[in-house]
Amino acid sequence: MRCIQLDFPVDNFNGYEFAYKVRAGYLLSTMMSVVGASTFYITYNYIVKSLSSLNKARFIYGSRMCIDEEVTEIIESFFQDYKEFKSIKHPPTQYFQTFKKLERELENVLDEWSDTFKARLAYHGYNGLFELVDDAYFVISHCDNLSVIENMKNLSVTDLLTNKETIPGTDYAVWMMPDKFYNEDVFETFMAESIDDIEPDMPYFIKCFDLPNLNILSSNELISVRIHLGELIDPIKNEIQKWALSCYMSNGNEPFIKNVLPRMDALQKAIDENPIIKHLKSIPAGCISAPVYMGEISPIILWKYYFEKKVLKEEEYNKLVNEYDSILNYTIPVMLFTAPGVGLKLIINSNLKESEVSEEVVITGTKKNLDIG
Amino acid sequence: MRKEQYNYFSVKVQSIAARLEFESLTDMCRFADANQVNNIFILHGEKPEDDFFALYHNACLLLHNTNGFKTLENYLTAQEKGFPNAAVYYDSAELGYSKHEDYLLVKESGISDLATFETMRKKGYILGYTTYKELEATNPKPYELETPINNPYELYSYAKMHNFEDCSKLIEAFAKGFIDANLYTAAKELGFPTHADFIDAGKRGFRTFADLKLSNDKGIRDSQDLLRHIDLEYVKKGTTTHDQRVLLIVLSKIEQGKKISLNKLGAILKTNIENYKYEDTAEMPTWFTIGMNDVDELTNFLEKSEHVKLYGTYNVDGEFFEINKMQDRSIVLDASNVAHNSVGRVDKKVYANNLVLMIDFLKEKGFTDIIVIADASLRHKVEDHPILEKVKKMCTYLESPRETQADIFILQYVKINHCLLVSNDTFREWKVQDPWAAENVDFYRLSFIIKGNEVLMPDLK
Repeated sequence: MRCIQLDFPVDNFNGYEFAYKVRAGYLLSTMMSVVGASTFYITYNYIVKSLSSLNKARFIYGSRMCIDEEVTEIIESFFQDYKEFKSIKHPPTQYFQTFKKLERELENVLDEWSDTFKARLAYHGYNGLFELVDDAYFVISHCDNLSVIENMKNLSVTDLLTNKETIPGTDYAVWMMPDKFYNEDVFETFMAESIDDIEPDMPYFIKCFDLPNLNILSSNELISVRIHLGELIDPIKNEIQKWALSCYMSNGNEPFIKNVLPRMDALQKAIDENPIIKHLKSIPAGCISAPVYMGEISPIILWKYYFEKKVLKEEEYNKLVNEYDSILNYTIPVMLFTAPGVGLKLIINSNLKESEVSEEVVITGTKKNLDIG
Repeated sequence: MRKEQYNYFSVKVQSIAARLEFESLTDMCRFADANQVNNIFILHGEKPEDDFFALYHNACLLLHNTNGFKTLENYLTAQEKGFPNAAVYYDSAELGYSKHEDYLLVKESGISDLATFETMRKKGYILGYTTYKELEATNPKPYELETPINNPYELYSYAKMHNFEDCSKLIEAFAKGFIDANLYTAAKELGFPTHADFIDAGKRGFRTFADLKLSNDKGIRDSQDLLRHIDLEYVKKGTTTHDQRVLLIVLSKIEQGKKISLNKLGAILKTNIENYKYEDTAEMPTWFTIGMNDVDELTNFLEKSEHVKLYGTYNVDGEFFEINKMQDRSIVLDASNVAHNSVGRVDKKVYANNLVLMIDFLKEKGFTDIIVIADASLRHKVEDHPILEKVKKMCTYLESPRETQADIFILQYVKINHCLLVSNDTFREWKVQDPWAAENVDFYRLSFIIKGNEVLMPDLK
């Protein structure tokens, strides 16, 4: 079973669900391709440790993953100063010293931001993922439209979204999507949420299995679970891959209902009986259970989502939509990860940025005491 | 293989006066060596089993059946290496095995090629099998296998299937009860010395061995129990027993200005202590210590403890406890949140001046012990950086280390001191992981609005 995750930076860096899907994909797939922001997050610690301040600034700025406006402004200001400094053939000593001071200040700012960012990466579940990267079954890549990093190969977003093989394993893959994907801006048609409602040409998401809090597993634990699960669920992965192929050929309703769904109990059993997962679910932080849905959607829905998220440019999106009628019908197989305790829920008004929908301050008095009668 | 020391000649016997037959090829070889005979004849019979080795000495032909061996050196080598006969010797040689025991092992276990055998030897499975058998014979056996392992090749196959690097690593894991290399590595990373400990921790909800050990040492039952224990450890300053700590927590939550009779306080304390009983057995945890067994001990603690005085004063004559005003308590400001929260501003920038306004407001309300806790990055984010320096002079200013979010420190400070917290952040993500935060943070949290130069805080009367 091939899986692909294409993600992007979000406000306030809430990378928790991205890392979660990466881990889930690593455990369940034969090959997991990670493209976009998560690649930056996975490789960040490894890449920056040997960079000079200037190159670190270039990397952070060029990757466009640094969503901290204040730090971005400081870097831009430094680049401006650097450009001016370099334009002077023989800078006087005082100018040189001033520039060096600026460089040191930049270093301090970047070090501080970097340390906080690394802590957040660890908190959000990115620790240990770099050790798992392997050309055979866990591949990470950058993509155009999201980052411009020198000497790094960037995959084409358009090719990824139209099922063209950019690197082995990125085509005919199941798309790993977050719960925010299922929102009214993107899903304008009726969606089937039970088997009985599934009809041809209708998108659907059906609950398939649950996963615990994978984000606290170490890389060794992930390796152990993957190897153990691999032997047990190979037949299930094969059926899911066959279903995915059917989707890309035309649609996968029938193989999904006949061959994939009946195997989900066995998949759940294999997951639950793994000793590491059992151990994880026994602790409070580990037993949080996230429902995972699987289904099919039209390619237009996928393109619209990534267009809304500014991963796909407007001209690229328009071109894809305009050419849609000329291509053979096909669907996209999706694995949708929903929030623990919430399940499948259509999100309304998702265009608002997270910071804008963060809790409104409501002034009410709250009882700050025990009732002692 | 031995170096060839004899020269061989195929001959036919025409006639010979005397012939003697050796009783064994060993004797023949010894005679040849003793008499420095290097030339050996081979007499071929009609069938291979009728072939003879012969040597000529003192007009006498001395011979012995070849027993299937092509040379005496082969025979001697076969003897040395324990081969029972020529057929086995030559079969083994063809397969590439020089020792009979290796040949036997290969034949018994069905190893198909020499490369596998060499790998097994290199990784210690040939010799290590003995150690494995010893381990298997221990009682009780530390591990359980579904299918027994009967020879080194099966041991090697098992190890390969379960990702063991070599035999020593397998034996090491088996000795600790682990039968899978990856699981062993993962459990070892979490500190578990044995599989039994790993399983025990899983049953009781402990992620690491450190938690399991701590719990075993303290008589703590499971992870829920451990969390309750840890929460009480946060307030242990100035107390010696757990009931005293519960009392401090109770006092921190009673409405300001209230006067409570000693009896009433005792009853509330008793109810709160009983909440620590296990639901299934209705028994108190063994780790929970009681120091105030009667009213006198309670009174003594109320009177004398400096930490009790943070929350109020005990009136000895009236036998009541009066709770301090809220303003007499410590109060923590979530600096990032306060600096970000400016209602009515379009720019949504971060202002240290918000902290100045808040501190002035709180001081005006009578608060004296004000602590500001900030992220290290705040100084880079605020628009009015010089004012931040002013804030540092107005009250206690604590900065969290670069690699740690201030939220962790803020929550920990409130946990330890049971003090008030000024923040509009609901700490939602922490509530998921920390039951204390889920139950208590909103209790101590004061929400606010800063509009222009005005601070509104409805919780302060």
